[in-house]
Amino acid sequence: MRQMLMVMVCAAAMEAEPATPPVSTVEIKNFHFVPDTLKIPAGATVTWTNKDDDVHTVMSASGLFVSGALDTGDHYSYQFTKPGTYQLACSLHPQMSQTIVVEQAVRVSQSKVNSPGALPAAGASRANAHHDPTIVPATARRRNRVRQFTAARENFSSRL
Amino acid sequence: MSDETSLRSRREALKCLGFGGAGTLFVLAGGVLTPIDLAAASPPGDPRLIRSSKPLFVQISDSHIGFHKEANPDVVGTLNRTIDLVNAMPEQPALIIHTGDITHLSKAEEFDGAQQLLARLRATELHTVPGEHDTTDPGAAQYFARFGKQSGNKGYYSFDHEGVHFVGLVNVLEFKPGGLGTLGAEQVAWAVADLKARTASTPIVVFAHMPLWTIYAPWGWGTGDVEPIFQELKRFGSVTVLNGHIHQIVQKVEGHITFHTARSTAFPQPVAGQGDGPGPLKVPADQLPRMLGLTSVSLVKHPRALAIDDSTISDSTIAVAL
Repeated sequence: MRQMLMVMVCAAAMEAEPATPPVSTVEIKNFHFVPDTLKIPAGATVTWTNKDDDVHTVMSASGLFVSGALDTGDHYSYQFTKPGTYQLACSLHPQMSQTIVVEQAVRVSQSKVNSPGALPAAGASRANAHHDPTIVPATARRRNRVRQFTAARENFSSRL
Repeated sequence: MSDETSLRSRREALKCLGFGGAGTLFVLAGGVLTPIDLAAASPPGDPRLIRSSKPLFVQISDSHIGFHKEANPDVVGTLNRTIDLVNAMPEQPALIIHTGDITHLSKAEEFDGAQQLLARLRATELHTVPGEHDTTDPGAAQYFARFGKQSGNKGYYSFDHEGVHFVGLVNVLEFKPGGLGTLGAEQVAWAVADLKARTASTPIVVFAHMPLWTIYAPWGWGTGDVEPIFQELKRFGSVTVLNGHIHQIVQKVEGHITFHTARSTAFPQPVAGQGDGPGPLKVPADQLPRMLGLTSVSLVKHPRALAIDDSTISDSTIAVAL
């Protein structure tokens, strides 16, 4: 009963707050971050890959992190655990900028928890992807909503 | 037969031009910049390379040791040719100033390689300021470990040589997204105070990596907080402002201030606003040496005049005419 309640809480949260697809890869191309604005759920990891011939860096304007030099093909990842708006730039080319909007963690596939019968095997596989520790961090898992989601998913798994 | 002779002559001429220094000599006297056309091809040791005046210093910039892409797979080779060009000067400059981007990725092995190459210079005194490519490691530790001593690890410093006052500035360490190079309040205050202590008749050379004047803001080619320094520079009779970063020559004169950007020793970059951004410009291999080189600055009328002379590791004017 307790688990069922959690599922309902989670589903209600989903309806109230439409989820953004967890886009988490950024290309640095032709002296631009592509996309230049990105919305992600808290806890998501963003990976930037340099596709230019020139060197770039990924640097938070507030000094939160800086990637170091990324040569062609190099990539850098950073996990955004706290909601908020982050201004990023390349410290070699300050004209390059990117905005990352980190929202409260909500997962797209959570809505499928309520209709397990309709969930195909591939869907389950996608859901498992959210157990990837690089995407769902320990800190984010401590957040109530994520904990509820995890409990709901475990409940769902046990029913399969 | 005649074609073959012609080809051979061309080859000989091009060979002769290999280390030929040519370009335009700018004589700065009392703030008036006068261009003087130089002799075309100067083989090594040709006294015309330096003409009548003793070189005060030579500026080398943007060597990007560690770069190995198509725009120049041999940056070591082109820096070596530049060094050969300097070493071939009949009168050696006392100073070499490297205006940054010594390395490409701030790696220890890149700095080590660059230092080994630069040690071949006959001139004994090397002054540097860092470029943004030299400072991508945490705390710019690699740069400061090698070049930080003179400035007490601040990066900016001043010194005097033959009656000329030199001010080296760092505009790549403080960061403002979406903007230009930044000096920071502390450095600006230091530079203004440093200049205030000089008499107006002292020739001043200010050098930094990124342009100290706004050449093209959308690509960050400028320095946002430099204005108080230029206010102070206005009272001097001869001011030469040098930088690298944009890998091509751009210059202007404002009052008694001459602004001059140097070529790279590694690869050219596009003209402001042409293309997606200021990345390495790929040119045919035979054109590359004509787009790389150094700047030499001479005292032509001590103590009030400096001359700026750009040389490529090949020569453009003559090669095009052939």
